[in-house]
Amino acid sequence: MNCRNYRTDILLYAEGLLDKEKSQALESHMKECSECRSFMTYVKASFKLIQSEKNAEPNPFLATRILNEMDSRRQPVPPVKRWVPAFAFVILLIAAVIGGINLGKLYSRTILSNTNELQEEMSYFDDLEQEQIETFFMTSNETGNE
Amino acid sequence: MDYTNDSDLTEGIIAGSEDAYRYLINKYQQIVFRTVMGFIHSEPDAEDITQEVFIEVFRSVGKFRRESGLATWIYRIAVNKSINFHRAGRRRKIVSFFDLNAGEVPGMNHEPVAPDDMNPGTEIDRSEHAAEIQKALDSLPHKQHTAFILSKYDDLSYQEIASVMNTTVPSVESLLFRARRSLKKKLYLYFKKSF
Repeated sequence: MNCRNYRTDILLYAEGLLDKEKSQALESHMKECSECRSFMTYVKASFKLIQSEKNAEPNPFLATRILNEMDSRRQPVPPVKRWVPAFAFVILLIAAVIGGINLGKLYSRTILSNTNELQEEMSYFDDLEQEQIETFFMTSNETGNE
Repeated sequence: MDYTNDSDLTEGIIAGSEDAYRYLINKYQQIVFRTVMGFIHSEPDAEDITQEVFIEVFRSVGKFRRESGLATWIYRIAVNKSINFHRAGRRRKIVSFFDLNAGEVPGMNHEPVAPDDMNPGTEIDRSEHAAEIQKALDSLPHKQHTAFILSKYDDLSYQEIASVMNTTVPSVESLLFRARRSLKKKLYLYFKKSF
């Protein structure tokens, strides 16, 4: 049997599950094979780590913690408290709609007043009273000739 | 009331008896915690999941059909919660139990494991070794992992494992055989890398 075949036996040996005959064969193989010996040491250390994890104890207050958590989850929420989030949402929604409408009104009022002011300013300009550009040039030429 | 009988205990829990709750937690918390540790390797996370397991037990005890024993049913919940936690990758405590406690294991504290058996100068880095075992265990498919944890951590018989996993004894034997074969391969790879 080669080392590869012994590796499964090494795992079972480390767990104490290998039968006597195979254990003896493995032991005599390990006397001559340093790699299998080292692998056995590695596997044994691995199982000792697993064993230490298996022996871990939970926090002594875990039971109390669980009971407290259950109590807090079991306590019924008062009906008023249950409606608070929904009520708050509706209030916020109404406030948002009213706010939006008012903002819209304010905006349209501003635009409207700006347009009126512009129209008022524009009314002071009378195209007919404006000096014709040709007249302007002619006048400026005459002034220049003088 | 005496809750040593699982049937009375179940009735007590359904009735909402505080004493029954307390009795159940005291009786099963160590078992649940140990099972969860096999999957999670972190004490704080394992405590959180243990708490969730008991809350689930109390919440759904009315649905418990008593086809299996109470312990078997609790094991199932513990395994499912652990696997879900594992799948969701919610592991939040980076330092694992192995890392914290490797030093307490003989041969794991940066000392040669067994000077006679090891080549000179070869030492097992305990945290590296701990991470390797954790990785090797966690890489097992869920069914093999569950069978291995229930066998190795909880010392359940093949029949009990079969009940928890809702399968047959030959299936459990096959799962454990495959789990050991995979572990052997993984551990040998890590071993070759280390030495």
